[in-house]
Amino acid sequence: MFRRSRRNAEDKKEKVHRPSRATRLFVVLRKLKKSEMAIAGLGIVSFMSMVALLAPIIAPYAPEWKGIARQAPSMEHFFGTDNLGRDMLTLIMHGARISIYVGVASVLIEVVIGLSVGMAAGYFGGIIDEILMRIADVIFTLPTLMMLLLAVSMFQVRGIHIIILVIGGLGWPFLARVVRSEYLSFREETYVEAAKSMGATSWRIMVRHILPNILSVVIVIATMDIPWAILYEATLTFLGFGDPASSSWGVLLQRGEEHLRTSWWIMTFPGVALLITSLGFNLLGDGLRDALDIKLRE
Amino acid sequence: MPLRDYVIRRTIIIVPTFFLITIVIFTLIHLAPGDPTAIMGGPRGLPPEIRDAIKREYGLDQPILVQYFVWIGKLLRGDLGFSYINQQPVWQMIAERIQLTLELLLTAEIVSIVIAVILGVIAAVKHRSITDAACSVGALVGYSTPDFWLAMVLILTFSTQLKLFPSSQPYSVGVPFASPFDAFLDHLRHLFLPVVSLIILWTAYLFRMVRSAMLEVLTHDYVTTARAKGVKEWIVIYKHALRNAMLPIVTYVGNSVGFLLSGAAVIEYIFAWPGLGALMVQRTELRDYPALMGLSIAIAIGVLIANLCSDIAYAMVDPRIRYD
Amino acid sequence: MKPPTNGAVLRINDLKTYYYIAEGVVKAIDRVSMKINEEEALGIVGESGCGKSTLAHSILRLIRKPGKIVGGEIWFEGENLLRKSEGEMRKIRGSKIAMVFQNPTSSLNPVFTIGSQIAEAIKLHQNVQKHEMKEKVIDILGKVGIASPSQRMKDYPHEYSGGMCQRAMMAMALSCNPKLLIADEPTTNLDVTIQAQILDLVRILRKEFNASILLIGHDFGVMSELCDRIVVMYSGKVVESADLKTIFEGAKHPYTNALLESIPRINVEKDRLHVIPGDVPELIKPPPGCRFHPRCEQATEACGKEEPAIIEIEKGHEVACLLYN
Repeated sequence: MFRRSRRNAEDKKEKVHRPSRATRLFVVLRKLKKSEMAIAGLGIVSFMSMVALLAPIIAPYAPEWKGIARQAPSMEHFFGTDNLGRDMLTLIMHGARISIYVGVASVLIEVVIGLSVGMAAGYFGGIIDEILMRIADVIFTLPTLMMLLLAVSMFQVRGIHIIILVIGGLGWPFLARVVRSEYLSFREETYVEAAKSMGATSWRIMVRHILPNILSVVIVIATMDIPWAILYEATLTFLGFGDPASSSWGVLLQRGEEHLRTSWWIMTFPGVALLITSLGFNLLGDGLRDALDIKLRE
Repeated sequence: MPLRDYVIRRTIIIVPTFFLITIVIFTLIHLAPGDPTAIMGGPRGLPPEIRDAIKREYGLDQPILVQYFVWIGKLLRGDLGFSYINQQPVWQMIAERIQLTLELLLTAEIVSIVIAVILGVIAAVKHRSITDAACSVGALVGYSTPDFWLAMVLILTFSTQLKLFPSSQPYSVGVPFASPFDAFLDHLRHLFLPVVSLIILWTAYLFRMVRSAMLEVLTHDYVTTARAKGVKEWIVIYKHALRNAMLPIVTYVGNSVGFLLSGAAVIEYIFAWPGLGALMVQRTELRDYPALMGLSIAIAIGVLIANLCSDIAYAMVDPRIRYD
Repeated sequence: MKPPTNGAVLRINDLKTYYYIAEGVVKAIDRVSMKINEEEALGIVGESGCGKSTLAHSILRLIRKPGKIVGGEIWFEGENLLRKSEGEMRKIRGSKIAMVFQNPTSSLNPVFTIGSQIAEAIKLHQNVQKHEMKEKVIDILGKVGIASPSQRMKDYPHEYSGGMCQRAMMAMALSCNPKLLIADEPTTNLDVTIQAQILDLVRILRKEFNASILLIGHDFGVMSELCDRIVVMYSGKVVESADLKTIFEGAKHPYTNALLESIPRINVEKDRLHVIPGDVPELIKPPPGCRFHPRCEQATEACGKEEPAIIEIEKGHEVACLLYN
């Protein structure tokens, strides 16, 4: 009902030329197309995602299939086989599913928490801001892996979702700080004052008015945090705190470490896959940041 | 305000931050419902007498708040707790291992800073040249490399194949050395691969920071003023520009302790380097909660002090910040 | 052979400074000539983007990539500055030709004290002993009107107000007694009252140091306070140059007159402020012929085809306009 009446009022005025969302998006896309970094990154990320998605279909063997153990890379097994004879290429492809899933899911949690905390702290200020930011500071300055280990230690179960929760639950401070400083500056804008005078609730202002302006910053940070999430998952799993039955890259690397001197390929190729995936997201993040012209203030 | 007042103010702030840290660490460990002693001690668990002793000692049947204050009380008296698995006091475990970790961290930090600053300045000054492109690409790849994987690759190449560097332990065991200097050299050889694994990520990250800070500073007006005064170009860069670019870098270096410690944990684990990081991993595996809490606090204090030092260093180089 | 400067402190001949960017070549300064005489104050007036700042930077050869000085001569003390090596230019910068910038607060290095920055300028060009240096800094700070100079020299730029920063910049610039002081919009970012103070200061210092001044700005009011002669620039070219009185009372170029018309006058009643229609052209593709013709009320067809040359219509008064050919 509110919307309808607003549109009627607008029709009566003259048309004000304002670049529509579509135009802005177009400009950004054009800049992105020019950035080779972003394109390369996007290419790698898409490739890895496709591999991950289609793994069950395109992998040469079934992940449980066991053949001759410890075979060096060959024509039948491009990346060799592991200590139980499973094909490495297949395992790596399936591992991509888990690692990318964990990466994206953790970052999603991180974004939800970081946005909420940052919005609240930046918009309301005062004591809420103080408390939230102090907590964020503590989590941010303490060694991440240490915190992850502490958090993981209290669970008896080992599993992917624990890791996702833990990484997302501890990774939000940086995003929260950036979001907070954006809200601090945006809340002084005149259109916020105008919205308030029309009776908009704080929630509405925060979400409908200010949030769209900071989305680009959030996207850049999220993109650059995904490789960290993947890396932390791999590290935790490698150290033995993940699910050993899964075939995430961390598990493969752990296996590779056990058989380091006898079968070098078990360790090497999953690591290369991790490197390339991280590289892809980092390239994409860099390219996005340049195209959207972000300056990360704190 | 003069520097001295700022230092005092900044040091005092440590106290509430410390308490907040204890709350965070305490919360993290006690979020799990149920009896923590049930899963302590690894797969085999602990004998029932020990479990009861722990419950008594730590008042685990008491309400959470009481447990917290009991723990804080001990901490303030300098009691970091015991590992009830091997009966060792935490501070002793730390004392045994801290030197090795510090060696790793300090060497890594210094090497990283030197390389990152030199290359970062060069890349910024030669913006858009081949040198800049090469360094930036290298940094991007380095930044994307999993540190523990790199460690294993290095071990395979340099240790197993080329036999240049040893792959585990900080010292060679059972080898008689001709002199203390030889022993020191041997130690350095053991230090080499772990440090290299640790610094790649961090140097790449710092390089990007230095480069982007320099690129920004070089557009500032006072750089043009310096040139207009007739200052030699290299002095413009190193004295006028770099001083300003280093300001944000000092903060990053301060935060790096946390970052490097994380990396150190895995690196120590791979290289069988008995330092604090490996200890942390080990205790987590064993679910040795008392030791974990004490260890975390100790590490947190270390990080707090490092941050304090970096904040003070920042205030020393940036006169504007003292007026907060 | 007569020195090419002819009694002038600085003589610019046919200067060309271009910027090479992805979209094309920006001809920021396209064949500009002018001269500044001994102890004279020359003002360069023009809208943003007309090239006046580029001109200032070109004199001291402070133009960096993607800009480049591609042609012309700049004669100073009998030598062509564009032929000098970088080392020789460094000796000139700050000592023989000094420059003051538009944004005084950001033009001073925030991490060094004012005193040390001035001392640096002195140390670079003069052989001064350590114990004498402090005296010199205090002396020059006092001359530019900073109170309690011995204390204030230990302050940092953020502790100074905008006006004080500009004074400090001038102290730095004048510390080595330059023959030419270039002031690039020195009062643009300052309050009006401070503006007046700074202009007063420049006037006093000009007498004391016997320096020539090149004042760059877009405000005729400011120019008239200080300058003996005015050069009007538009879109990278000089369109008119004359002494102050002539410009105000008998300007010939349509652009100059349009600029003068746009100055709001308190004693004249007007419904609307006079505005020059159109926009400043993009310097990548300037209009053919006279660059001002699309916005000129008196433009003829020829104006769009032929670029007007600079003609001296009376002594000391030059115009580039086909109306006076």
